[in-house]
Amino acid sequence: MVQYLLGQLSEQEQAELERLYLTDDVLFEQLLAIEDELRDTYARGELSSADRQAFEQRLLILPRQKEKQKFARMLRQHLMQEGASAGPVAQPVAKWKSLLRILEAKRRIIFIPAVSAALVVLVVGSWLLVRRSMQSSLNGPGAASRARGLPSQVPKPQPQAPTPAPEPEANTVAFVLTPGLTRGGAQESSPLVIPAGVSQVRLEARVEGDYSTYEAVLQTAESKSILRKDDLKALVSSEGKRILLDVPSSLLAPGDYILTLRGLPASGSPEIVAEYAFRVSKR
Amino acid sequence: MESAPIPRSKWNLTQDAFDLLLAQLDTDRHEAGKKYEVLRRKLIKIFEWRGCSLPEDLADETFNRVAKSLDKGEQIHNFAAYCAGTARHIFLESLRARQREEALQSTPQSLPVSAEEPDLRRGCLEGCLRELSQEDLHLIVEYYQEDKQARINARRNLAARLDIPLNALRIRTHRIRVRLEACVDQCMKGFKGRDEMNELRNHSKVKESRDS
Repeated sequence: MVQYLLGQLSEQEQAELERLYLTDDVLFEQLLAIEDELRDTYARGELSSADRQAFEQRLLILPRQKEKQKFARMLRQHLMQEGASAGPVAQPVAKWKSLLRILEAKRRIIFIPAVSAALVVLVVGSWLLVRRSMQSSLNGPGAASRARGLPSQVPKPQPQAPTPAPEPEANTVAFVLTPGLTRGGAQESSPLVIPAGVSQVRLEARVEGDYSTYEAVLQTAESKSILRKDDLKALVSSEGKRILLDVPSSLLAPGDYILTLRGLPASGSPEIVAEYAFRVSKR
Repeated sequence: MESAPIPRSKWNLTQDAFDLLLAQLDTDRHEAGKKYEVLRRKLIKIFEWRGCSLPEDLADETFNRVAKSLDKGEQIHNFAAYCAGTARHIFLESLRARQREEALQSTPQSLPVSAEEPDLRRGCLEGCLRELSQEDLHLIVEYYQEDKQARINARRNLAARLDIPLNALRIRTHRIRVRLEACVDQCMKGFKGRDEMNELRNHSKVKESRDS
């Protein structure tokens, strides 16, 4: 979207995005918010010279655009001064305090799924053990006669047939993403490490909901668009639903990224299903 | 900047044609009116983001042409896509017109800036920030941190704390910012109004002293 605002998309891509945001109010508001952030980036002098030139040619022409830029500069100056004299609000919080705060806020949200997950692991684990012991007893002497009288103790398999995942190309490394924007203290220190020689990264995003198709948008944390894919179908397995997104590793420079998944209902606008934040580093 | 002539269709919008246009948006006229305003705002932004100098006029021309098509009996199945396509054509026409006219690049009209305006504006911003709720103020301060990494971390933490996606946080902060901008504009207009009143008073005093 930043590229759109700077006029760096092809005519076809611009037209496609305009067609989308004419019908999608959320997307439109997102674009307005990104324009604000681009103005802040310009005010901080963080745009490359090419981007700065593009910005001045597109977003500093009209009087109201210049007013918006004055406001952005003034807000920044004010917040810088406030930040210099501010108390705890502007201070970086220790990672463990941040994690505790998040856990405290999400206590109920984390506790119930955590207990449920533990129960699921217990049940599945027990089922596997029972199955293994049944197989070994079936293979032994007199197994046939034993099998005749054996009641069914094994849980019935899932009703939904699992969808086979498409084969990844060679030199692919896969990462599983879980929804959420903070990855916790531990996860913040363990980014997705892409080994040298890997040409493709497969992102597996756990997802809920019941949409027929999904769209995925991969951006840097600064909202620079990396990849967009439409018409994705969720793969179903015993572990739930997931979306697979194959990304050339050349597009993933070290840094922070956000993957946004939107479900496309039968009618109406796309709806954000989940967002996944992750950091990439390379070996 | 001198603006290129707006590529206008030689047709005047009639009430019937406008009604047909509204009917495309919603069967309820009141709702259709609201959707019309939203769509008009989006069309204006399309032209603005494409670097056009008179985005409002081009947006209105877009609606004119769409209404004309409806008036002629054309069946439009995807109204938004039709509007987007029409806007694109108008943009390309205006671009060609601008190139043909070889529009002069002159300094655009902007608000006159007095020496004390930065201070006044700053004062307005401070006043408007005081009017925000503590929660909104806290959000703004954390969201717009100067340090890049601190900013990224703060945004993630904020979104997690509020239990909303990052894009929802972005939109929420944007809405607070829009309110702040509007507040500062209003405040500045108040000062300009005061300056104009003072000028009028000074002018009438001078006139009185001349007359006497």
